[in-house]
Amino acid sequence: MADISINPTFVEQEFKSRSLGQETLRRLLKNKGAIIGMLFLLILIIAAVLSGFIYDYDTDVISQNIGERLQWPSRAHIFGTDELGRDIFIRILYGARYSLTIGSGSVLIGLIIGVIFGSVAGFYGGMVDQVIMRTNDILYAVPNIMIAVVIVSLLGTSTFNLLLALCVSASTSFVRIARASVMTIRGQEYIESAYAMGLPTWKIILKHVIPNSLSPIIVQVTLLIGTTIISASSLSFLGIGVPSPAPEWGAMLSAGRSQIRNASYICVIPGLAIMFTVLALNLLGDGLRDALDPKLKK
Amino acid sequence: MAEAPILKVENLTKYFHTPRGLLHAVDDVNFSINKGKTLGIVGESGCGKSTTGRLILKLTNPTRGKIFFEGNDISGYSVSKMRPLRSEMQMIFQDPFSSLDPRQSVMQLISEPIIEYKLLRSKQEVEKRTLELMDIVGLASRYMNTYPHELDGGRRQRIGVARALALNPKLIVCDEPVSALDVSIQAQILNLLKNLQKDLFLTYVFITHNLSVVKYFSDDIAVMYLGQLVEKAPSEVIFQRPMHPYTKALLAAVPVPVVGKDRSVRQLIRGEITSPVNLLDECRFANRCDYCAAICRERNPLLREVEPNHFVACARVANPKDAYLLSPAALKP
Amino acid sequence: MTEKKLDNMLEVKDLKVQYNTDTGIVYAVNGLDLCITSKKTLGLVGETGAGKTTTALSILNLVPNPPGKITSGEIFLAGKSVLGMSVNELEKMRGNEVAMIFQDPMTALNPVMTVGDQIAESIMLHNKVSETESMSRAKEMLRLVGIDEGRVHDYPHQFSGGMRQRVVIAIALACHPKLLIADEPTTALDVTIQAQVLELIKQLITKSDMSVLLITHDLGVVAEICDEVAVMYSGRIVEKGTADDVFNHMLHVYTEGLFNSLPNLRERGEELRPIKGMMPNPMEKIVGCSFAPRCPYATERCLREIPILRKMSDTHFVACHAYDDKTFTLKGNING
Repeated sequence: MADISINPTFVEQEFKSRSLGQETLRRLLKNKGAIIGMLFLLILIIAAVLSGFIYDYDTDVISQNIGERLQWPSRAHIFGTDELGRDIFIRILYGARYSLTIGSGSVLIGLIIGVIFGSVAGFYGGMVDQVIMRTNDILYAVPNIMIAVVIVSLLGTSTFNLLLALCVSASTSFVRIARASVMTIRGQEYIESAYAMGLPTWKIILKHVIPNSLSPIIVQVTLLIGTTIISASSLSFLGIGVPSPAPEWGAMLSAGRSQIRNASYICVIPGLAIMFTVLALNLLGDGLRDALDPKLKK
Repeated sequence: MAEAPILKVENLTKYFHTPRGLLHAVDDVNFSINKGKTLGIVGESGCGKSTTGRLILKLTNPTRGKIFFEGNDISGYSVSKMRPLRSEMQMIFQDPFSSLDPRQSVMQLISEPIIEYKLLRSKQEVEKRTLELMDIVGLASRYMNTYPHELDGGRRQRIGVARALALNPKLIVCDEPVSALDVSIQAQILNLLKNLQKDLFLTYVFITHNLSVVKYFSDDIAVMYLGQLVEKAPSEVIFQRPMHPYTKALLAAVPVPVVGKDRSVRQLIRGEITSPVNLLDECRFANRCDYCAAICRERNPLLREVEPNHFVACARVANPKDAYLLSPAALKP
Repeated sequence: MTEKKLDNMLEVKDLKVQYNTDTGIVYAVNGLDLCITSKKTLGLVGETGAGKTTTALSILNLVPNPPGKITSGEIFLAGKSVLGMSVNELEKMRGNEVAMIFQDPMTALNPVMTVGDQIAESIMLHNKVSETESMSRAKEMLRLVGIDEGRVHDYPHQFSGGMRQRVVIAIALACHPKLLIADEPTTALDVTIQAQVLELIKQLITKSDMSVLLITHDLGVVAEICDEVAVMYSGRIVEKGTADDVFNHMLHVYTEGLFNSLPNLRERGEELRPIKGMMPNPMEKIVGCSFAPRCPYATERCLREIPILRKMSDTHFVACHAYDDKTFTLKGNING
């Protein structure tokens, strides 16, 4: 009988065991676009956090300095100064805090609400599904701006209210995605296996269904943060978002309109900031989508 | 035969309401299994064998009929009442690729039932038992922290077996447990299951479409067609003396790996399986049966005992002699 | 490998195919030699991972590239080299001289085209005929495969699995190919339907003068249809011969092991004797005989040197060093 010891070529490789999460990370790190995106976002986040410590809001960010107004970018002011003499570079860095918190905050809250309702709808089906989805359809159809207008007129303009308005639209897309994902997972045999084992339904949903439905949701998170930042900027541009003199990028864009002919940089720079941030998020999102591709699971 | 059968099923029926009409998935099925034995349920797709397996475990509720487990009628049991029973009856699933949660490691998969039912207290005890189970099913301990997607079909199916055994069940429903595996791996898993039955005195319900496998594995065989039992007999009897035309056709259809003069000419079945929706009160096999007569269209034939322990549902087979008459030779003018 | 110079429909010499994945290289086919003569049916048998489908795809140069790559070898179809053909020439050949059918009838058909259109599409692609002519030929094909002509305007979802596979066969045979490659054509079908479809394939083979490469893991199917058999293991052929040679006078240990693993319909009660161990990981580059680790007759030489197919009779070849010893025979102890 064959003795394994005489066959050194056949000794089973000690493979490095990887969970699906680790596999995904490995694939993600092979994607150049995703790495660029991640690096940019990392730098932005660090800058945003540090700016809170380095700069003082009242003296550096919003204090007006009419003497130094409308200066083009120079060594003293890297991004120049705006029509009220405020350093644009400092305002951009500080503004990142708004975009990032509003973007991720509203998406995160929307995620939790959306996943709960979407999972319930997808898992139970029937009347529950109908009620949740039709309500969601109504909310989904209403434009962001309208919701924001309604909330702002009821509660006033503030960063928090902006976040609230954006939560609503963020959650509607998650309800759909979560529902579709859950419906797919629900039919899998390992869910049946969990039932056969006697696991109670709530545990099955929490432990087996939701963790496996996360892939499309994760991708959506990054992409949605991007669009939410744009929405926030648009609303601030219209004056119903973050109230001035806060250095929210959209608000800065709006304020710079009057100077667009002679000091175009006042508009262009915040615009570029929005653009690159959203681009980085999209690159990361695309990379995640590829890395999470189910073809990985043979 | 003094001991009561561990599982008994009476008039088991499951209908589904579809937009096209009433779907007869399982219709009036009766059988019983004694402890330590294997009942093979054979049939092609749509015959209701998988649904029957799920009904036995109450993974879906019967429309009508009774299910007796160890003498108790569990057909009406609620989910919470079933829970303690679940540790007594388990299932091994067909697809080793989709029946395991891809996010759980082998250790987590096998220990999940143990933890859920709090069978053991400490983490060490759970781990020890998991390794024990892995050893029983032939999984090397080094796979403890690997994930299903890193393993091949044979090993994944062993995980499935270990999971089913973790609760020390008395009855295991095997739903096509080896159909997705290569022949040599199939053989390994079948041997494993057979040895476990001997060692642990398990009772199996073995569901499959593969006649060679079911013959090897079962004590009794039940043949299903369009939701009904058409023949039931001990294993050798089904193969040596099949009486229902469908059983005969099924046996004839299996491609035999023999070359040369030993080959016999095969009698093929014609047509396709009819729809299980909105069935009439006639023999469901009538459209495809070479021996269909007027009586076959009058009503759906009942399962009757044609010789000791041999049940056939065919209007034209009242005794063993009749069965011999239903043969190709008899059809010749 | 010396063979009589018969009319060889298909000749594959020392084919090597690999897939460059991001986790490493998969050596799918490792030096494969195949030969199908005109009008013969060859069954290519092997388990999952042996490389059968990759071989089939290579014949039509359909191996997805990237990540797949044919690294060496030659493929001749009726004397013409496939690997040297331009895309145009390949397209003329595919569906026309060489047709392929796959395992899953559910996904092989376009759900938004009628079956008649799909058959006619193939005909019109390779022949200069009018639409009406091609449609009438399509109806003829449906009749040939046992489907009522009237269903020519039906859509795939209106057919059952077995009938869809018949449609797939109709499309494949529409241009009267010289070589049909069938990759597990009946595996996804029910037993009784499988029998019908196999019977159909058998009839169609006798009616035409097609050669057939039938890929399967089911030895019963091979016995039904095939004249010749080639047993594949880990990317190469380990034994080949006529059906009688391989089934009744098997020479390679692996072949013996395969047959012993079968729960034969006629013998009950014997314990199954599976082959110990598993097929090697195709990502390892193997030196020597890939079966050696599982082989009770393995020697040092087997670990160093890959055995080549040696001629044991006019029709029967085996790749095994043990046959250096002219008195060697299998002792039936592979399965323990």
